Amino acid sequence: MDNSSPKIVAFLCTWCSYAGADLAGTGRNQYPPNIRVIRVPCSGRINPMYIIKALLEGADGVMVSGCHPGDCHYLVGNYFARRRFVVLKRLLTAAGFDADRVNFTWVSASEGARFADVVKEVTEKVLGCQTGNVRQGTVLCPASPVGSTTENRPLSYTSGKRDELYEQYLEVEDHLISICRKLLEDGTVNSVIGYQQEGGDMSLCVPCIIDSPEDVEKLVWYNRCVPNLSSYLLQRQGKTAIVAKPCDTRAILSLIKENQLKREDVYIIGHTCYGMVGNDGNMLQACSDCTVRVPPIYDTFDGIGRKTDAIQGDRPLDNPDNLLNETFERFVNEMNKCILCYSCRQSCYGCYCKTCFMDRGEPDWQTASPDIGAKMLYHLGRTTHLSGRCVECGACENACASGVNIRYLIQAVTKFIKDTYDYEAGMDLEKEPAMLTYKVDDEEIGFL
Amino acid sequence: MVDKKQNVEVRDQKSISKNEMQGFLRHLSTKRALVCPVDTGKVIEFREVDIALLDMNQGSILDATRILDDHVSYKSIKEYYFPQTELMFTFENDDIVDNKDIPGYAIFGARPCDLEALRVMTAVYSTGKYADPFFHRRFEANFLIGIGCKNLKPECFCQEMGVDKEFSDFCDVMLTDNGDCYIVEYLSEKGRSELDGYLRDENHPLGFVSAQNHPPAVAGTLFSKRANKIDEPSPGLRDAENAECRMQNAEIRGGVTGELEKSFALDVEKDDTEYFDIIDWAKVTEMCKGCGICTYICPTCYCFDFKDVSKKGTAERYKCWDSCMYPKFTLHASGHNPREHRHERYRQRVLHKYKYVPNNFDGVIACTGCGRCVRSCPVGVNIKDILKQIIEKNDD
Amino acid sequence: MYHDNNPYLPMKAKIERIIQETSSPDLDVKTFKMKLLGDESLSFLPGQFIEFSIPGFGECPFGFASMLQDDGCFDITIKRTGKVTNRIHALDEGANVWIRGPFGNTFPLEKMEGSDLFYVAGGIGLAPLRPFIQYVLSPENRKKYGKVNMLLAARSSTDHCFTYDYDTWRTIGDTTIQQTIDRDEPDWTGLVGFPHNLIKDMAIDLSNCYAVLCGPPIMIKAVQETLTDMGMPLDRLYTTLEMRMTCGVGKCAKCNIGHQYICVDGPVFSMAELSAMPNEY
Repeated sequence: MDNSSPKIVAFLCTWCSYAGADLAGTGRNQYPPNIRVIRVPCSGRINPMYIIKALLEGADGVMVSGCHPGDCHYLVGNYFARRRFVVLKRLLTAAGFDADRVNFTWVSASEGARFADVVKEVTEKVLGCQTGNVRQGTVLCPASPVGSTTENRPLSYTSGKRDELYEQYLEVEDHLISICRKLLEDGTVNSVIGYQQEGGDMSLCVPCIIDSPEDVEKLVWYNRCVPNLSSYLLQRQGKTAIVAKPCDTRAILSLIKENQLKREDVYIIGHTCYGMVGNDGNMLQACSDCTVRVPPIYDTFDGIGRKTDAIQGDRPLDNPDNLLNETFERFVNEMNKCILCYSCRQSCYGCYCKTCFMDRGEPDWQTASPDIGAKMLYHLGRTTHLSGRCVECGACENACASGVNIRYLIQAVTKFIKDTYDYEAGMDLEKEPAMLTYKVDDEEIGFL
Repeated sequence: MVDKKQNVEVRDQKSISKNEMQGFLRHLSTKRALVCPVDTGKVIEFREVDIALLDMNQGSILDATRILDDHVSYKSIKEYYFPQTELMFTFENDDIVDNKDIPGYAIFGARPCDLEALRVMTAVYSTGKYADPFFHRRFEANFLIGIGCKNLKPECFCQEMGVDKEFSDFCDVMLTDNGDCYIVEYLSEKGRSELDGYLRDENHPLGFVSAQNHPPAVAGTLFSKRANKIDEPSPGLRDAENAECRMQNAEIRGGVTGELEKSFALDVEKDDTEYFDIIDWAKVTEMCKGCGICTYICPTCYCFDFKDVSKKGTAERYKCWDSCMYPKFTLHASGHNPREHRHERYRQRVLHKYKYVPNNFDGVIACTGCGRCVRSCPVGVNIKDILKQIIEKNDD
Repeated sequence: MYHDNNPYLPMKAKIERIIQETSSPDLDVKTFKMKLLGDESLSFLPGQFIEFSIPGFGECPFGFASMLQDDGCFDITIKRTGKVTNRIHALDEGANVWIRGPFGNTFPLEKMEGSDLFYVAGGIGLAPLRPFIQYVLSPENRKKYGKVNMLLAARSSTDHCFTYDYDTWRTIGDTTIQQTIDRDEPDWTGLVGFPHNLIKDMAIDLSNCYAVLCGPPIMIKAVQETLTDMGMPLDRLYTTLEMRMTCGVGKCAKCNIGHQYICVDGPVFSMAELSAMPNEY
């Protein structure tokens, strides 16, 4: 292996680590010539997308170094960065990148010798990496030709309950219609976002917007009300009522927290949810993984049973498939299915950016591989943007016509954030979002 | 397969038993990469099948693929003619290098809606002063085997679009399910030359039977249903004369397919502006999320964009799918966007398919009723309902 | 003229000269005088356009800003607005670039013969009209056309393009040029105000006249309304449209307005044609 390999991109904070590198030079501390330094004002300035982009462009590894915690020139920049890097590393390992490809550390301006040691260590680690090199050619995994026959997912635990509940859906639906009629008639709201039965051959349950009391009979409520309706609220003027499952409610709560929506502009008709059923008659994967059965906030509760009766989190289940198989092959395989139509983005409550990074002309995030590279960039980028914000509604997965199981990445990250920072998006209006805060003693998981 | 006269001459029928499909597919894969409908776990899509890999694992192609089922793949065969990203050329050493490295595929099991969609693509890409060279090269290189549908699937509306679910002549070879065998029809010289010797040889090691082994009556009953749909209601064997008669009728009508009535056609004579505000587009697309899935899986959506990618010392230009559902599709550099709102973009999609393309290409409608957009829309926007509304308004 | 009849392959051209057009602070308009390399030369008429490539950055359509000159050169005038144009503006004289074309239709040169011409241009909108003006004012064609009037508008005195041409054009008989700016400036001798407000006072005989408009959409609309009020029929008003275009040969369907493609059926349209098209430009 020649000197230029491995190639390691090093993002160094100008105040500490860059000066540390300088000192290593003047102090004649020898270290391998594999790093390419990019100087940044603060480790907090480093967008996780830079790291992803570097890896996708063919860097063998990335190294990030900033001031030691507490020494940040901007006081707290590196505290925020620390959480970001910890979460990013979890995402990259979930996608099957070797954990040693990305390395984070702190080097102060006086630690020239330490800088040399760090570079030595990082170079050795990157050399030992097995998976996740995306240099062109290696990434184009042979399209696995052999398909498996679709195994019908076994009906999950609620299957018995569902039938038992079926009669009650009608009752709840009647109640819902009367609530909405009243809300529209007395002018509390000027429209209701809910579900209706589509007339087509597949008897789909589709979203609808009702703006007059005469139309409320159209509303339906049963276990096929799949789409997450919360993003429609962003296009509405005035107070709007919304038929909300727990996941829709969590999304609404997040939108309120993110200042996209005012609490007073939305009237939440909360419903208990025991999981929605897809077109194949089986419970949706996201719903089987879900443990939230009751909306965390609501204006009117219209569920089967009352809040006190409903079982909260009676099935703490992690889909074992998702947690075990975190290989690069799986990631490439999923990416090969993706056709980059962006229906996951458009269906996601959290993707409300006016211009997505994928649509930007400048800066241009385009990778050297416009096919699979673009898909990886999109999915990794979107997942970083949703870290700590995903409400696990599964809208992305349900919308995907290509059958990409892309939720496994954000699922891993969401679980990690819950375990590490004790934060779940959309559950509490008061709690500070995990990625917007820090603790001085945050654990430096995976740091050098 | 473009030249109709030639079609008439080469039209004849063979049959092949379903038990022999494995060998048939292996034969196809000798010259070209074989593309079959494959179950990827959640959806059925056309993928390249690696026969060597299967042989190694002693697997069966029939187990690996879903060719014997009656289904509609979630994506069409479009990507083998117009890939999502296709390298056009490279800027290299102050010169350009055209990408002529076009792989040929043997595509097995395309449904009539996809084949008719290819006819639309050909009309758009291969007529006019310039032909799209990349489409054209792939068109020449590929070998296309169609297969008729037995049943309409939910959301299919091919009949309303004038597409026969069992047959299309826009392929090299057409198969029609006939119980334990397929009827094989050659529809191009390429189809005949690739398969003829193979299918005729009774003593072929893989045991393909020739047409003579099957009584003509089988074919007769099979085609009688379809024959009734054309002007000359001649039951009996669809022989060369019958085929010629079909062609003549098609020519008289001036349409290219022209066999079934297109009940979802808009009036080409009318001005574009008459359809422009015919329905409340904002209302019918109120629920549209603006994702591009309907355009990406559509077998006839052909819009594209060029994308440049710079590499060390060189740059590559790709031809990539684009979608009229994206705001960036029409965004000017100045920031002005002629189609800023979602409903305007959806209107463009509908009118482009049913009004503008027929205007420009002799009545060819850029929709074959495959129903994919209806099936895959995450929020149930239904182009059928919207068309019905337009046609009702138009009739008033 | 295309390699293997592939209309997507560009041809190499060389930038011979770069002229800084505007002197307003952002210096955002430049004219690139360029020439095809090799034996081939372009043959085009006023109104047509080319696709201009910068490898690795992309391709953009631009109208010709001059007729073909004796040395085989032609001008392209470009305003810096986006990713590709930023890059183009950074080019130096002598640089090689890639172009495809010519594409699109032309101004109806023959149909306009025997009539007066009235050009109204706003800012860089003069660029696509310039080859047309050059064509009409050339010695061999001048007598085929009647009076030539021009109203050239710009935001400020420093935003006028091709100012070096005006004196030459004025010397050719029956040609008047009026310049206007949006707000008055010291030492400004031309008109002040928006074109649509000035036309009525210009005392132009519109009875046998074709008007050709190019500029920002708002200007085209206002001028068209004024001229229509003054009795000018729509089929005597011409303009040139712009749309996002990728292929230039009617394949990519990006510039589709109604059933027309701007790259093939346009970019030159009469207002009568435009009124039959959906309002999506």
